[in-house]
Amino acid sequence: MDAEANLLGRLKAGDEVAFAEFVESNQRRIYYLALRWMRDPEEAQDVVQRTFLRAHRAIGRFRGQASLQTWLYRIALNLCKNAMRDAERARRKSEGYAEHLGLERAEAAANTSSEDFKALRGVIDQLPERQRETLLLRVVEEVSFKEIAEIMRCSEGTAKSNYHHAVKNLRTMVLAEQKQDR
Amino acid sequence: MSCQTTHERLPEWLAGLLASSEAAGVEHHLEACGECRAEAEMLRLTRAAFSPAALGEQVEPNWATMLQKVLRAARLEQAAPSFVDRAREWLAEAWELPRLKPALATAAVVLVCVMGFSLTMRPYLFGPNRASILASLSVDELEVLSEAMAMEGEGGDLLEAEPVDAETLRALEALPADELNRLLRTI
Repeated sequence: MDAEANLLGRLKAGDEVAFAEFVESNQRRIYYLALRWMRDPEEAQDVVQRTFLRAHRAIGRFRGQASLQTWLYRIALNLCKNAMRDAERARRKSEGYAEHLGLERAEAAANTSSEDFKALRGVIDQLPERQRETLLLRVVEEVSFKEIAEIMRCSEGTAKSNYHHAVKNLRTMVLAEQKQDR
Repeated sequence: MSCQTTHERLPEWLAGLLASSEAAGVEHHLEACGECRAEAEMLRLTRAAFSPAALGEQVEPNWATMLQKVLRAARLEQAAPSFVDRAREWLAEAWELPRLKPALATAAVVLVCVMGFSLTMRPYLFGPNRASILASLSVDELEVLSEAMAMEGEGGDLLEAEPVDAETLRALEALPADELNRLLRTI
């Protein structure tokens, strides 16, 4: 029996030590995945906690058709997307209110990233959602096309196509930005 | 190596995950192809732009504390039984009490009659609201619907189907209309 099957068996049997090992070996990856999406350490930590709780709740029903890590990625990604949708709604609300009061939105004081990186992240944020997800999973998280297909519930061909379009669109957008700056 | 192959392997090459012969193939292609070189540079910047340091994360979180928080929350959740479990337990206990047996049996018969009546009369009694849409679905359809909803958060198609319980029904009823319509299209 391989290590993953062994771990899965112990998790399904409710072994607390196995669950602790499972969290310990995956929390770092899930945290950084969440941080890249949420851009906020506290929210990323919240996603980590909720991801493992959901996995804990549903492990008994996990079929083992994908790897545990792929499954965790999918849970975390869905939680990030939902949290971002909520945050976007809240932001619109607060922005509307700030506008009403004649205030400008303050930039996060803790943001120490360089302007170039910030600009590039801004361009990537403009990509269609599926393309953006595929690009980040492939380039930043180093996930294979096969796993991306499992995470995003699509075929491997679609994952490759999304990646291809993401890179192509990103290049076009970056070139357009550079032209504008000149 | 073709542009297409290079394009597909660049992420692994940037991460240093390719075998040396494959990495050499990519590098050989990059020396000759300006387009792929530009793409490699853009992807290198993308990786850097999303690194913890670039995202302003100077200090790593305390992994031990994070682990303890998750374990504590999981233990608490396990200790608190769900609504369905509590109801099931209560019914099992109540069934053991001799005086309650006839009352529960009568209640069950009344409940079945009321449900049968409301199902027959539903089109005449209720308008096209969310509860009536849900009530009009078969058990199979409800399972597909709850599975679709679970997929949003738990990777549902990787899980065994779970019977629809009262909590799921309440969650479905509480969904905004557009969200419910979107899920209904999955049936």
